[in-house]
Formats: sequence, C-alpha cells, structure tokens
Amino acid sequence: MKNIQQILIILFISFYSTINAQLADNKFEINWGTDQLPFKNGYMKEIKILKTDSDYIYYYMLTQKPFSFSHFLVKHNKKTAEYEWLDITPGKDTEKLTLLSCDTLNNSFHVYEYFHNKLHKKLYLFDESYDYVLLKKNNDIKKISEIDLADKGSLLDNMFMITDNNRVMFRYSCKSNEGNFYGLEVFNKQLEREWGTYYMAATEPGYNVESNYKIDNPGNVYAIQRNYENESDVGRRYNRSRIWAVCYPKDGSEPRSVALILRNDLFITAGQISTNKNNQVICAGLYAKPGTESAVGGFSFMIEPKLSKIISVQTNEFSKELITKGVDSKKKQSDINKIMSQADFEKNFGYDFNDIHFRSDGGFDLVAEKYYRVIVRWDNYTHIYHYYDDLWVLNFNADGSFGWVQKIPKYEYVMDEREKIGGYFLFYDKNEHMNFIFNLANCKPLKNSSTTIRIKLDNDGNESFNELISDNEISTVFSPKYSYLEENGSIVIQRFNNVKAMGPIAGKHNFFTFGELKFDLQ
Amino acid sequence: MKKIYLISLLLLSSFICYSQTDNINQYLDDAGRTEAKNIIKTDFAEFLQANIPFIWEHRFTKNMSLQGGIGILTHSFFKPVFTPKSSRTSYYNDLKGGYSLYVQPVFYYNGFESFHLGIPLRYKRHGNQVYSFEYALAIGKQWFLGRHLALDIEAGFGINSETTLDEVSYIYNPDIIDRTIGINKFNTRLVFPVSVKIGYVL
Repeated sequence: MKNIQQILIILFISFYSTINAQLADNKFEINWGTDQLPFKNGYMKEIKILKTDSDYIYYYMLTQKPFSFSHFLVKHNKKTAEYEWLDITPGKDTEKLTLLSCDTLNNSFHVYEYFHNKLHKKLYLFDESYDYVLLKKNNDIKKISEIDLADKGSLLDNMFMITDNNRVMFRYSCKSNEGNFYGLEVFNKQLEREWGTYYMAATEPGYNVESNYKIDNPGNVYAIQRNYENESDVGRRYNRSRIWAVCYPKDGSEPRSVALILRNDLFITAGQISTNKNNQVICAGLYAKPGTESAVGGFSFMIEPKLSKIISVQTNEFSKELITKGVDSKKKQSDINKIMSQADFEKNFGYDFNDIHFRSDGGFDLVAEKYYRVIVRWDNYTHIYHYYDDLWVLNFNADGSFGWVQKIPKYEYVMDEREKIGGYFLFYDKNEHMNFIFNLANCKPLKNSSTTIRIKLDNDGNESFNELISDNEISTVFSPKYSYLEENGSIVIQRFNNVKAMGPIAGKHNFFTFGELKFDLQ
Repeated sequence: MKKIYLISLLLLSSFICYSQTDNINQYLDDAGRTEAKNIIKTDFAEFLQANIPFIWEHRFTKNMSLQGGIGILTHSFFKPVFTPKSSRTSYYNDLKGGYSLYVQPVFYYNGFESFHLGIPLRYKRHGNQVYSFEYALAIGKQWFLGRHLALDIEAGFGINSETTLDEVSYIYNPDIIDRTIGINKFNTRLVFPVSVKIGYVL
C-alpha cells in the first residue's frame, strides 16, 4: 500500500521534472541528531528557534496541559544532544500575571504580561526579560503601560502585541456602554513608550477588521482593514467586503486611510502591507474577478509615506497556464482528486501571506499560500482537517511593477496534530534565490504518505527542485515551517512524532529531533 | 572583616531581590481580591426545592477549586413550585425534613472571577422515606460585586436518580417527568439544574 502511495507522489514530482530540465541541481546532505524528550508533562505546541551558534541551538518551547500552557527557554547542545532549560511561565511568583505575548527584542527574550486590577479599574502591562543564551532571568520586571478602564465603564474585549522593526506595538479594544473604543501604543526597543492613540481608523460605515500591522522606521503604524457591512458578515460574506490601507501617525494626529480599489471592480481577495527604505508604503496581493474569491491576478500599490498620495497601481493577470499549473498532475492521484472534487473545495480557500521581503536591488517578493481548515466531528471525536495548498510567488521591481509571477503546485492535506507537517519554509540563499521546502503530504486515517522536496526559484523565476526526503516514515513527521536558517547557510530542521495525549500521559512520548540540512556541497 | 563583608553582601542582595519584585507590587495590590481562596455561599435556587444549603468553596490553583456543602431539607417548603393538572397524588405533603450533601469540582477559566465548568453532585435524604442522587455537568460564571460579595450563576444538565424507602414518598412528583428503570423503587430522570449562589469572599 505504501509503495502505491509513493508511486503516486513520484507521479506528482515528475511534474516538476517535465516542466524544468534543471533537475536536482544542488547536492545536499541531511544529518539527524538524537531524539529529544525534554518535557514529559504537556503536549508540545510550538518550537521557535531563537538563535544558533556552532555548539548550541537556543529555542523557545510552548507546551499544553489541560487548562494551562507552559513556556520554556531551552539551550540544546548540538554535539551531545544534552539540554538545559528555564521555565518562564508566569505565575511562579504570583498567579496574578497572565502572559500576553513573548518574543525576542534587542537580543533578549521578552515576556509581556498583564494584570487587570479591578480595585484600581486599570489594566497594567508588564515586561520581563530573559537572557536566552545564559538561561537566566534578568530580574527586571517593570510596568510599561496602564489603561484606565474606569471612566468608560469598559470591558476589555481584545488585546495583543506584535514586535516589528525593533519596536513593540500593543493594540487593544474595549466594549463599553458608549460603544467600542480602541487603543494603540508603541514602545521602542528599550520598552519605553514612544507614543499612543485611541483611534480606530475611520474607513467607511460598517464593521472593520484590522490586521497585518507594520511599523516603519520613524515609528508610524500601518495596517490593513477589511470593511464589512455588518459584524455578522465577517468571514461569511467575504467577497462583499472592501480593503483599506490605514496609517496611525506617530505624531498622534488622526489616522489616515486609503481604499485599495482596482479597475473593473476586481476584488482584492488578500493583501499585505509594508514600507520600503524610503518609508513609502507598499500594498501588494492577489485579486479575483468580481463576485469570486479565487486569485486570477496580482496587484501592487505604491503610496507616499503616511498614505498621503498614491504613486502607482500595478496589476498583473495570471495566464491560464499558470492558474491551471499542476492541477492535472494532482488529479491523476485518485485520493487527491477525491478531495479536490469536494463541493466548494476551491471556494473555501483563503490566502496566507508571508512578510514582504525586500531584495538588495530594492525590489521585493511576496508569497501567498492557499489554505483552509475545517472542523468536523467524526467517530465521537472532533477533528481538524488542514488543507495547505499551492503557493503564489509574486516578484516586484523597486517601483512596484511586476518582475515575474510563479506558482508552486503542492498539497499538504493533513489532520489534527499532523498540522505540524503542513506549510512551508522559505529561505534566500547567497544569490538571493528563493528556496521553498515543503512536504507533498496526504495524511489522514489509513493514509499516511509524504515526500519532502525543495523548489528553488532563481532571480528570473525559473524553478528547479530536489527531492529531500523520500523515506515516508521520516517525511510524514518532518515539519518544514519550524526550520531555521543559520548564518553559515545550513538549515536546522525538525521532525516530530505525532503522539497527542492529554491527562497523565500527556507529553510522555512527545519527542522531536533536530537535524541539519546543507546545500551546495562540493 | 570578611564576615562583615559577606553579611553586607547578603543583606544587599536580599535588598536588591526585594526591590526587583517590589517595583510592580503597587500595581498588583487589589486588596486581596485576586488572591482570595475561600468563599462561603448559599444557593437560592435550592431554596425552591426546600433545601437550604451552606457551601464552602476552596480554590487550590488559579483554575481549580472544590465546593462542598451540607443543607437542611425543610418540611415547610414542600410544595411543588409547578404542579400539573394531571397530577393525581401529592407525595410532597408527607415528606419529613432531612439533609443534603453537595460536592462540586470547579474548573475556572481564569481565577474566581471568570467562566467555569463544574460537575455538581448532590445527595438528598429524607429520613427513612426517600433519598436521591444527582449528577450533572454545569457551566457558569462568577462575579465579585465588590471585595467580599460574590455572585455565581450556573446551569447544566444531568441525571437524578431517587429511591423510595417506604414506597410512597418521592422528592420529585413522578407525574411530571419520570422513567422507571427496573423495579418501582428506583427512578431516574433527566434534570437541568440551575443555581444562583451568593457568597461572602473571605
């Protein structure tokens, strides 16, 4: 049975070799380390590598137990596979603090915590930093912000933090009898408050969903807002929404917004925002035909700083050959064809973007991954099916015009904890070629097949590929999105087992393994 | 001299440690509201069923607590709140007083002042007349109305089984909703318990 699955995957892989003669142009080597089982209490939710050197891997790990999460900093010895760790879960000293977010900033690992003091009627925000190399607490916990919740009779509705461009932004919203109000605060890399505002950018009447925050060099905040007629339309009547670029100026003046509108009512199905070195704003993404949501083209907007004036709007309609690229090869596999033939399969997808990446020539790249998930009850259990699908790669020149567009057909149809083997890892090599590592995977009950491949796009968008892991046993536990590019060009890779158990045995068999992937071997 | 130096160093380091934790204490001080571990409660919804409970709740961790209580089942309250017209016999008038026991593990989302999930278990006994067990799953939310007053509302669903000892006494009117399993002495039924508890936060 497994042989048949492998043959089917090879059929799909052969698609790459038929469209490009540059097959396997790089030699590579993979070395796996020793299986790790650092925490025997709790299901592993996330591993994020913070830094590596010649001897160690420094990483952050999140584990889940019933009703609680635990956070750890770990120092892993590459040679001996021994490890030391530090539990950074808030609540060791006082249970009052709740973790809001954690990330690296200014070469330290920062844990942001909050406490809603109902006596003071205030929300306090705290920062506590750790040295993740020496694995020690810096004992510098301090209040970085406070929000007065008394005057408006407000209830906290939502809050989160992001770290970008050596700054930290805290965004929150509150519900009160007088309606919703919003707040935003920006801190420098010393976690000193730079500025804040109580505005939510006014775009048009209705309900606005704000996302994709970006902080430019001077400290202005940009975001994308999607406007719906009603709150109940969110996520349901997507193709009737409209998209805006918004800016919260650092000087505290009223926010600005620009409607992102394309000619002929083309519908912007997804977009990303960033700023270049001249602080010009770039919005780029995918559009669909009116009344639909499936991407048929790409767009870019170049806008003056603080959204003061649109400089240019560019669109690029994808060729039919590109849109249908890889579809026939997928459908040759009966399992995949069966999934693709499901009602509304194509309609369910959305697009997840990476951050806009600026190249040394001033141009930029954007990658969109088709993805959706569905939650179903089956056999008395709740299951989550994840459908990671094709990648769209958009290459732009410095002025926002299109360089080239490429599509990378793939499928990673997985369920539940096998979600870890979905997604992709993108790295740029020394020639600024884009390298994508992902699995071709179909992992469901009674089906368990995967092959790991690397696709490289050169500076003109020409593709070549390597089959990295053909061993089904390893590929079905290989997790591409947790990979990490080291300074010497090697890639730290990870594979997980897929045991998920709660209760007393949670985490008892939850091991993972680091490995090293090297390309361009002579 | 070396000793003095060491003692000074120790004192200094302890002072530094104190300072480091102290610099946020003023923001965390809410007069013990978040740190409260014990609440004494009574359940007004149980009053409608002739039960006057005294409940003590102790929180072991931020997310987990245990409620336990005893109650007095009074005779004078024993009139059903709703009596269907089809009811032929009233079993309530002859019930004597008794006692109730109650225990519920509660899992809070985020401390006492938050949503919670519980498994309330109740036992009621009227002397040698009748006794019942009730097992349920309930969700609710607790609010603190000031520093010492707590309001806890929850609703759920479960199963009640009762056994008549004298074959004439029942707690629930079997004409309302009833399903007999096995012999007539043992009755079990679906129940949808609601509780409205008021408590004093210690």
